[in-house]
Formats: sequence, C-alpha cells, structure tokens
Amino acid sequence: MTTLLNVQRVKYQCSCGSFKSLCFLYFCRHCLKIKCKDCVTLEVDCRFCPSCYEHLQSHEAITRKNRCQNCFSCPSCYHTLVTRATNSLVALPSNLNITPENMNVGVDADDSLSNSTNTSGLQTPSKKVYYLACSVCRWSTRDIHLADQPTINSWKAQDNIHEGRFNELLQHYKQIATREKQERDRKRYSTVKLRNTIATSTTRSSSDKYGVLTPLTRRGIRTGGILKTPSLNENLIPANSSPKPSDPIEIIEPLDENLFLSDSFDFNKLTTITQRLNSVESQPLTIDHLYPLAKNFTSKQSKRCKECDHNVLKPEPSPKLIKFKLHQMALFFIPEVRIWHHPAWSFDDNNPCIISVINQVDEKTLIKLYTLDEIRQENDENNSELIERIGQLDENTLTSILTFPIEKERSVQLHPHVEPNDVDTKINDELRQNDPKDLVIHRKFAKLAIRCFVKIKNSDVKRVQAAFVIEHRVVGISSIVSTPTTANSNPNAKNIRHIILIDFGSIDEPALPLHSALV
Amino acid sequence: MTSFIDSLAANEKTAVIIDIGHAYTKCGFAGNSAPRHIIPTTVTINGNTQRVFDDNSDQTSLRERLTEFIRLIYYKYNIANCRERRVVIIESVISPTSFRHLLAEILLEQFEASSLAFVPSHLGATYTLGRSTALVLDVGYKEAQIMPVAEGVTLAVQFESLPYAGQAIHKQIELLLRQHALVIQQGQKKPFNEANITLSEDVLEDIKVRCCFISPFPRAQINAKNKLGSDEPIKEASPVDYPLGPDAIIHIPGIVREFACEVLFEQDIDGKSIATLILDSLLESSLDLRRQFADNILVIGGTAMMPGFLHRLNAELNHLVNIATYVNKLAIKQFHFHSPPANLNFTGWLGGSIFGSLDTLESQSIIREKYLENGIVPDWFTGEQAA
Amino acid sequence: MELPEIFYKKSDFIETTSGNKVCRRSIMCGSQNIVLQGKTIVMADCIVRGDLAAVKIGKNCVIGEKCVIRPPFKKFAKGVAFFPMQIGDHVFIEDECVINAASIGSYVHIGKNSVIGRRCIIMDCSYILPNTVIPPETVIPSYTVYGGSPAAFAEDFPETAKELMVDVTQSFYQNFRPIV
Repeated sequence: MTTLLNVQRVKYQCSCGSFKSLCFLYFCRHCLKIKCKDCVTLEVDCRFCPSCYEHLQSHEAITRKNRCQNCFSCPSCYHTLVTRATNSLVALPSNLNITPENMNVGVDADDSLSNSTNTSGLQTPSKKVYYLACSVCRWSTRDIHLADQPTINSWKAQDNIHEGRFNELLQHYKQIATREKQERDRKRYSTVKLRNTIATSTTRSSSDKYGVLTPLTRRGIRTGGILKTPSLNENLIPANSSPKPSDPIEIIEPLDENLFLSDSFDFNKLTTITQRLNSVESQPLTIDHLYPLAKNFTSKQSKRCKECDHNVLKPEPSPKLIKFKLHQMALFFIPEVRIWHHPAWSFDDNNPCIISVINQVDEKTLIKLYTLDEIRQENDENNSELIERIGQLDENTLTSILTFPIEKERSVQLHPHVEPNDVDTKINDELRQNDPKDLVIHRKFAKLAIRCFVKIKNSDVKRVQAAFVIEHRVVGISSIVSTPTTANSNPNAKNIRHIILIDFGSIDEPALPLHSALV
Repeated sequence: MTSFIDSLAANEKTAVIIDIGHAYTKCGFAGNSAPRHIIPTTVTINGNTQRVFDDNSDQTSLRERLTEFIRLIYYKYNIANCRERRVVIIESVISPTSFRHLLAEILLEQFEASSLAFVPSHLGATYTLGRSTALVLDVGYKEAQIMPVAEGVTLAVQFESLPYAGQAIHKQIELLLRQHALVIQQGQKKPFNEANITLSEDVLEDIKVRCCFISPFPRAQINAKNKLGSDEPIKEASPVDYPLGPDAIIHIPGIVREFACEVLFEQDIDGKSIATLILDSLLESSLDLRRQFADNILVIGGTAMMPGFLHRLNAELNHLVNIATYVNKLAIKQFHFHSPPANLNFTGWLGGSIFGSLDTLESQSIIREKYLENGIVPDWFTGEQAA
Repeated sequence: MELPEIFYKKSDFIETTSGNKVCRRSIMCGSQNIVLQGKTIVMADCIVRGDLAAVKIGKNCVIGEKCVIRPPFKKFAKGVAFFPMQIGDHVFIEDECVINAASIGSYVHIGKNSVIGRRCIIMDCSYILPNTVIPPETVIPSYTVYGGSPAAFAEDFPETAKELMVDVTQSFYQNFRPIV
C-alpha cells in the first residue's frame, strides 16, 4: 500500500528536521509537533513468538532468553520447523516410504492419527513419536540422528559447554568487585583527604582497577611499579572461591586433513557463516552438528514523545490485536497531500500540477496554503526557525518553485472525514460554493484537488522537487496539571505550519493521466 | 548456578553488552555466557541493505545508520528497553575519538542509557581467562591487532596492527580466482577473467568459510618453495565446483582454497606477518614480562576460527624464532596459547559480559547526567576520569 | 500519488447487487462455495477454486489478474482433505499471485508474482513484497513486511497500515470505471 500510493513522494518535515512520509510520522498532542521514529522512545509492551503467538509476561520471556519453547527454526535455512508425528513402528527407514504416515501436529493431528490406526485395523502397539522437519529445505532432526521424541516439543536446548567455567569466573570477579566497593566505601568515610593526595600522586587512581579507562601509555612497564590489580594469584581471596586461572593448551589441534585435503571434500558439508552464527554458542563447522534453533520472540512497542514524555502510541497488549489504545499518527491530525496530476515537464513555462489534500480529521478544518517565498516575506519573529529551515531546504534539495493561483483568499475549508457511503452532499455543495475556483478545481467530501504551478529552476534539473507550507489548526490535549491561566475552553489549540516536500519524480517522466473528475 | 544466572538475567536493568565489529556485531546481556545474537553489521534503509561502516560516507549518514542499527539491536535482537539501562561497548583501543563521541551521543542522548562503559576488546578477553597478564591478538575482519595486557593494564603503547585479517583473505580469494579459476557458463568453460563476473563480499566470504583452510606449516613450506620454481611433489587439495546463481559454476582449484589464507602468514615487503606481530610485540616488551607473555598468548577474533589457524601460527612462531631476525634477540623458544571458555569470535564480548555484571560497573562508566552536563567522553589519553 | 483511473468494458464484468465486480474471463470453480462480501473486484484470468473447499473473501478486496486462489490441503493417512480459505476485508492482491493460505487477515497487501504456501496464516496489516515465496505453514505477524524466497522479515510496517489500506482499496474501487 505504501508502494501503491507512492507515499515516499510527499514528505513532511518532522520537528527534528528530517523529512518523512506522513504515514510513518507520529503526532504528539501535548507538544503539538510532528514526531518521527527518532524523536520517540520505544518501550517493549509485549513479547510473543511470531510463529505460535504465545504471549509471555516480560520477566518470563527474559528468563527464557526471549526464545519460544515450542517453536523452532531450521538451522539450515532459518525457516520455521514443523513438528511431524509418526508411529514409532514406522520409524524404520525402510517402512517410511511405504506408509506416509507423517503428518503435521496441529489441532487435529491427534485425532487423525488415532483414526488412522483404528480404521486400518492394525493392532500396532503404536507409540507416537515426533520429530521436526523443515518444509523448505527438507532438513529434519533425523538428519543429525536425533532420536524422535515421545512428547511434542520436548527438544532440549543445547548446553553451552563453557557455562560452568564462565560462572566460576563471574563469581570470582564479582567477589573482587564487591570487596573493592566495600573498600572504597570505607575509605570514603575515613580518609577522604588522604585518598585525594594519593590519587593525584599515583597516576592510576584506585577507582580503576580494570585498566578500562586508563590503559598505560608509558613505555617500559614493570610489574612492581604498578598497583596490584585483581589477579587470581592474589592470596587475599578466600581459597574456596577462586577458580584456577586458565591453563595453556597442551596440544594445539592441527588442521583436520582428512576433511580438507581429501579428494572427496565437499564444501556443502560445511556450514555457512550465517548457519554458524545462528547457533551462537556451538557454531558448528559441519552440517551434521546443526541443531534446531529456538524461535526468537518479537515484540510490540509503545512509543513515547521524548520531549514531554507522553505516549504517542500504545498498542493493545495482546499480540493478535491490531488495535491501539492510543494511536496518535500524524495522518489523523494533519491533512494529507498527494500528487494527483503533473504534465510532461517543460523548462520554460509554469507547469500546471494538481495535488490533492485529504482531511482525516472528523471535523471541518481550515487550511491555509503558503509558498515558501510568502513565508519568507512575513519575516515575523516567531517564524525565524521556519524561515531558516526553508532556506536550508531551498539550497540543498529544491529544484523548482511552486506557486498557487491565489489572489486574496488563501484559506480553504476541508470537509470532515467521512465514510464514502455517506451520501449527504449538502455540506459538500455549500463548501464548493465558497471555494476560490482558481485554486480548488474539484471537491469530493474530504478530498480537494488543488491547482498549483511548478517552475523548474534551470535546465540541469534531473528530479523535480518542490515544497510549500500548509497551515492548519489542531486541538491538542492540555496537560493534566492545568494552570489557572489556561482555564479557557481550548487551552491547547494552535495553528501549526508544516513544510511539505514533494518529489514529482524524474524530469523525463511522462504526464500523469488526468482523472475524469478533474477535466 | 543456573538459577542464579537466571535471576540475574531476569533483571530488567541488566546491562546491555554490544561489541560492534566491522563485519559482525555481537549483542547480548551482562552475565550471560554467550551473546544472544551475532549479526552482520548492516542496516536496511529504504529497502537497500548497506554496511554500517561504509568507507566512503560522511558523519551524518554514519550516524543515521548507526542509530538505526542500535535500534535494531535493542528492539529486534535483544528486545530490551533502552531507557535507564547500562551499556557496555567493547571497542578497539584505536577506535577513532569521533566514533566514540558519536556512540556516546547516540546511546546516552538518543537511547537514554543511564551509563556507558567502553571496554577494550583485548582487555575484555583476558577476563575470560581468569588471568591478568596475557598477550592478546585479535584477528577480526579489517585488521589483526595485538596488545599486551600486564596485570590488568592494557599496554596501549605496544599496540600494533596489520591489515591481514578477514578482508585481506577476501581480496586474496578474488585475486587468486582471477588467476586460476574457471567458470562454467551455459555449458561453456572459460577463464574467470573473461566471464565478466564480479563477486560480492558475501560470496567471497562464503567461499572462505566453506572452501578455504589454513594449510599446515610443512605443506605451506613446500608450497612456498614450489612457487619459487622448485618442484617438490605435493598432493594438491581437491578442486571444488562452486555454484554461483542459477547459471554459472566457478571451478575453484585446490590452490585457491589453500593459498587464500597464506596472506596472513606470508611476510610482506616489510617482513611482517601475523606471526611477526607476536614476536615484535614480545621484543617490545620489557624483559621481565616477555616470558609471561609468551606463555600466555590469547588469540581471538572470527578469522582466528579458520580451521588450522592456531596450529599454523604456533609452527610459524617456532620457525621464526630460530631464524636470523629473531634468534639473537629473543631468548624465548616456546609459546603457549590459551583457549577461552567461548568461541573466539565472541571472546571479547564475553569479557564485557563479566565486566557488565559487576557492582563496580557504574564507577567505571560515563554517567548520563554527567555527560549531558559537560559532554565529555573520557578517553585514555585525555586524562579525564569518568566518575 | 492518487491511484490512476482504470477503465474496463462494461460487458467484460458482472456487477452483483452488493457491488462485486467479477470479470467474465475469470474462472470461479464451484461458485456456490465462493463468497464475496461486497465491493470486491476479481480481475481477468483469475482462478478461484471454490470446488475444493469454501472460499470466503471479505469486503473491498482486489484480486489482480492471473491470480490463483486455491484452498490449502492437508495430507492424512487416508488421503487429502481441503480446508476452507478466509480472506479478510480490504485485502489487495496484485497480479499473478498464487494463494494457498489458510487465512489472510484484513488490510493485507500482497505484491506481484508472490506465492503464498499451503496453510500459511497472514495476520492483519502486513505487506508481502513482490516476488516473495512464503513456504507452507508460515505465520506472518501483523505490521511487518516480508520478502524474499523463502520469505523473511524485511522491516516494520507503519502503524497507519489499516487506514492506508482502507483508502487504497476504496479509491481503487471508485477509480475502477466502466466504459460502455
């Protein structure tokens, strides 16, 4: 749909200065500003498995390392693996081909399986067993000689063989750290002055025992000259906690010549780098060590305005719902502009173009259109920022000048957003009568067709880029702690202006066909 | 023990550990024994995927890509809220100041991290050994970087690097393919050069990962001699037919598979290779530390995971200490390597994971409030203290 | 940009009382099993296999030219069974797609020349890029863009998906005009 509407052609300037398509932008009703994804902070609201949609509380998900216990990805092609059920009797490879009793475990797998055994009348002391298979690359857990499981999804995660050693080390360093912290706290109380003098005299202060912040740059370091740092040899540490420091390897593993130098070397037996990195802990070299990967969770996020800390977007916490509790997209507050028609470009004349303006707000909206030059001429104090932005834009990106056929009335009424089935044309006709006919050439409910002229700056231009400014009124939400001065009915309504950048496309693009409604 | 780790991981405020590499980025949480994800350092903006560190791009577009990338790490891979969270960045000691500032600005201002700590990757790697003195060699994508760590202090002055790492292998593969490979297109065999094929970095990487290996030292010696004209018999590695898209097959001769990684060990015009990097570093060290360093060498980085890497490196070292350049200068004839409790490509990250779960993390970090006040990103040569 | 107007020969399409416009050149097998809930356009050379199982298509949908909509099947011990297919409201399926999904939610946009595998579930408000192949039994979550073969997550979709999609399908219908 973004491609169907070519939304990237029309961009609005976010309050941070970058240009984005309107449908990607948020609108903070407290600051009354457009916010892009860089101007909001994200908060993880709910975590779920993208495959089975299981929804977990965040602490639970974290303890499971954000991985699903029931869904696995293929270690070979990363697609979701499917659980297949089979009778343990037919697990023999010779029988497998004859009785294709493999089936997917879904809601109905159990029934069908029992049906099949009952109706076929075989009195097999059958035990259901399960294995995982990939429907894309045909990899299965049988390829790596994993025994079929008697229960669904009882696949154990592979253990990290280094876990124990790592925990030993971690414990050890933690003790040092705690001790150091205690030491420092003690010092802080007793000899603050003394410590300061020491800190200045020795180049390395005691706060840095890890050398993280001050790697030594002096040449000819001697062990005796520097402060003792946490090393495992330190005899101060209680003996029970200190693990053995690592020993050098006795035998260095040579190249596996049987694998790499044999004539039957087949590179397809070796894993690709992506396959290796997907199993971070084991990183197998050959494909017979691949192991099913637990599926990673994805998350839904709520978004918060950085400036005022109010939410601009809050999804429903259930993974299946697509609704939002709070849904402040810029599209719902700011009239949307689209390209409707442009002619084959000519360098000499004003090219008459038609843009459409669509109102998504449920009330009548009054918009005012300004060209960039008009804004510059205003030279109001409040405008300096806007003018500066226009200047920058004009210099860097714009290749043409956009003007409106405006004589005196620059404002246009927009019909409230309606469902198209709504056929009450009364307001529509009323509004049409008041339209400046040169500017507004067509009106259909919330959609306007506006004529404008685009003059290309010079003949070197490759892409036609134009901009203008739109002004309209928005009603925001006043903050909950309302001060007495803002006690009037609409404390937070304001006229706001946006710079809209239109990319009409390449200079040699043919004219867009004119809609019959516009003729 | 596991429940203890779980309780630690369950904390919403567990620090996020990010090791942004040139090719791959490691991300996860403090106190975990492995990163959650290792992902290519690329972002997709407006439908086209590009590397975050594009060589020819300006600061603003780098900033845009990096912001997007960090957002991805937080919300797609780690699924963690960025607010009020501590962050530990594993970095190279020579990462440019401008980049540190950019990261600090993005993480502390944009993502509102409560504190940010930079841990040099070499130092972080020593944590994983439980030793405080080691000679750490990091062979990643762009460079092989060596730095000794003595008693927990990084000796930055002895930092040394060479551009012989993953990227160099990729270039070498392309070069060798141009010289030796055949392409079968529409049933016709022709030399690689005439086939008019450009290989993307991804394809080169795949060839490296799945076809290439590091030949053992004796073989490499014979190969090197043969290259210079002698004719010792050696059984060549078998060729590989590598499919490239639907209608082309590259016939990769064994010579390409074997020689591609030689770029790491062949001495260049200045007589430098990865092995001399270690020896030179030992020479630079003060006498009383040399023994300790030679006994505690730690090699980390993704390229060091190439099959046969460590074995060859050890053989090279043993060979080189007995030849003219080093025999009189260096009394050490034995080298010992360590194996960290992790895969080599995330060893630096693992050090950060330990560091990030300590109580002292805060005192070692740049605090957000402080940063917003004065905008200082302390660096080891500016002499500013963080806390 | 506004959608362009598309003109069709009045004799080529059948318009039902509920506003569905179905091309005479499309093939609707087992039409008693096919439900179009109104204002849905089915273009030329589409094949909808209502004879296999029921196909229910919601309001304001657009099915592009040369699409094949075929209810998914499932293999059982005794044979094959077909399952009904559901397509929600305001779904836009571009030309030359093959749809075997179990259900497609509302406000979904499927790009040109895509293949949706057997028993896929496409959740509301998602976008499948052109030339995508979605393998069987995949679940596509809401507010995502999927693409590639096999399909993989590409990016997030804007939260205005619903409104955009309503707008697109409605204005497509309005701009789909007969010439006599």
